[in-house]
Amino acid sequence: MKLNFLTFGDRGAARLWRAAIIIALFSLWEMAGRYHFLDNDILPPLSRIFDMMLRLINDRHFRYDAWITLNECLITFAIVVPVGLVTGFILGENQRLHRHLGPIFQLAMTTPKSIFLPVFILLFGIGIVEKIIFASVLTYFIIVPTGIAAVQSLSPSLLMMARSFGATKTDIYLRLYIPACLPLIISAIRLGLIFSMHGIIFAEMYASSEGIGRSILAWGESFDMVRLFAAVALVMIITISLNETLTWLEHISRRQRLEY
Amino acid sequence: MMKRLIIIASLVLLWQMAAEWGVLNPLIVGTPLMIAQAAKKNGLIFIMALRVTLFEMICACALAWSSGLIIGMICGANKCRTLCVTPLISAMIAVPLVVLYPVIVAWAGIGPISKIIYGAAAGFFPMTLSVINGVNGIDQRYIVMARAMGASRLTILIDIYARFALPSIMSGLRIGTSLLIIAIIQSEMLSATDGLGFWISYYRSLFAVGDVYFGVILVLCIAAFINQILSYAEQRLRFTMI
Amino acid sequence: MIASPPLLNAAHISRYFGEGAERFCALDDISLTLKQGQFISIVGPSGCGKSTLMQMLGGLTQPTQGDITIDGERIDGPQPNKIGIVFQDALLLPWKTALENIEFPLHLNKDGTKSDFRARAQEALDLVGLSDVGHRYPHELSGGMRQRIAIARGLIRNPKLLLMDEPFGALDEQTRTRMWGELLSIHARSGTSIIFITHSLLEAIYLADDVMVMAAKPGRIIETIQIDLPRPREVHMIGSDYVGSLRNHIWDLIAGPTAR
Repeated sequence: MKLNFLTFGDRGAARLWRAAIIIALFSLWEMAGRYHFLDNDILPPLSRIFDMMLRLINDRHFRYDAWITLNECLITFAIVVPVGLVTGFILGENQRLHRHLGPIFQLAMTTPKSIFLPVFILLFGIGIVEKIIFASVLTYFIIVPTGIAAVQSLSPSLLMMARSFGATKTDIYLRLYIPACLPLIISAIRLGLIFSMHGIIFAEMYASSEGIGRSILAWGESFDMVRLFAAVALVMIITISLNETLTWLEHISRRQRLEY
Repeated sequence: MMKRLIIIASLVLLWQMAAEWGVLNPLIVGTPLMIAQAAKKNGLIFIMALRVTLFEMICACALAWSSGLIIGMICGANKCRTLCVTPLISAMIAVPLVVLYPVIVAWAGIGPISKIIYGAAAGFFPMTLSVINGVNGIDQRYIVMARAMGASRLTILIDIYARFALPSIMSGLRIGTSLLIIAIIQSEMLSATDGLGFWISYYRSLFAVGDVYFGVILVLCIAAFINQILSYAEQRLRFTMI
Repeated sequence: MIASPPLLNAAHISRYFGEGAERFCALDDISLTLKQGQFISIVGPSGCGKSTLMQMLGGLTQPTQGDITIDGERIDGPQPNKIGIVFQDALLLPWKTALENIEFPLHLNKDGTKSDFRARAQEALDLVGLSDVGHRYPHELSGGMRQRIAIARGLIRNPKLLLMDEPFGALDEQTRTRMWGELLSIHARSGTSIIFITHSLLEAIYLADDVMVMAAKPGRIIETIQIDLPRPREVHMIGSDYVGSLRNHIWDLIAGPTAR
């Protein structure tokens, strides 16, 4: 019987293939640029983009924009993740609240909340506050269901055991939920990061005078492809690295919580 | 059901009254009356915009669903391909896809095509991941058993892979389509010539509060409608498949 | 027996679930008294409400009628300093070591220093005969070891009463028999009163001073039997005629015509 048993061969082979694909794509890109398969204005060669990436990193204006965007993301993240998790915990524990409010969150998850940005702008004007509020609302509705799932993944007998030893609400939140659900909480953090960034950058593209999103949109509109690609590449590198790190953390914490 | 309608109706009434008594500033917050007036005045524009948006969504769905299914099933069926491709797809899901939108616009212009491409991309990655996971999770022993009974490759594909992977596939299609809808609306808001997102932004810049809200309500309606259909389909298929 | 006032007194307690037409009686008019140092086992068929009874005795749920008092005070919630509970599944926290698990109740009630806690936990670990495994995680330990750690945790605050809900149910017969010996020696050394709930008739007879036999639907106590075996108990006593006839008698009570 053939079982789904992974030997090093499979994983190693997959890694090699992946590397090969990426290298092939990049080489193709570079050659297309150099030998003008495609108009250089549409798809600049990789080397020029790479060059520009370095130039952007050293550019004061770009760094300032990046700093602003990063700050906005961090603030959003710092507000929404704790609040969202606690809301999720409360809803996960309390059956009645979950029945009444749960559907609201379900509904919110699937609606294109970005459509509310014009409303937010009408209400709050254009500025940091509006961006942060928008991104917060966006991310909040993603974090809460994760929090609910985290609490519901906990065996109710563990809860009963803790209560029998005199655990208070705070004890349960701090000593039980957080350590027990650490993998899901890290997952919530990861989603929080992704969606905060998404919301902030979108808000910047839509209506803002500064920030990376604004710059990227501007370069796109003025067909400054090299800068555009360079900035996009930088954003992608940062987001992907953060995502990979958090996924790895999630993986590690999952191993520690081995069920027995 | 009745209770919910009553609650909504009373909230709407409360809103209108709050605006009239000056508790809320109607110029900023808007009133239900303004929404109704906007609907009467510009309703046609919105309907035409709705058509465009819907068209973009359907095209993007067709693109994303087909490519997602095909690539997902091809990769999912083979362990090595799965391990190779999955990290790449997960990485793309982590990226705020909005940053790629200006690139797509630079290539494809600000017409519907860029929206379709962008929407399809937004839906493609989560869908493919779901399909891969669904196909992957199939117990290989079923495949062995089918082959031992003389089933052809095609029969195996349809009867076994499709059946077992269907729950994951359906849920992936639903989630991917949600993201696709969100992406298309976003793209219309950023650079477009038509579509609901575009017109909502247009009216926002004119501070025409009633029109903005009306447009938002329309968008919410489409999104809710499509999601309901997909949820319903998922439920029905779940029952017939078992 | 020393003539001292009872430690635990449950007077005519009943527990009903559900409302209106669906109301059913899980426990009907149960009374029991427990003296300091006494070992009582409660045995009954599945679904007779043994676990519900235990939860009420432990303060985790409230009886619908009647009162339970310990040391004269009414039990209206968990009593972590007077009552320790050992559950059916050990319910150890998977991310904590054995010692950390045993310390857990101490951290919840915060009366002492960290080194104090560690010392007390080690003492409890010694008491259950597992002095060397303090730094191991639950998934590294066998079922019997985990239960012993759960017992150590239950005893850490030197409770007057230890409630045990089928703690050895998941163990194989030989491990179980060894655990009986361990439990009896712990009982002798610590002098804690124990209420032990089990499915197994032999286990109930072998461990206890008195056996309370329950019936189901509604849960009620049919008979209380005093066990006339000398302490310390020896495993061979299980094979004696006395124990055999007691077991047959209890079986008839539970499975025979009077059970309905």
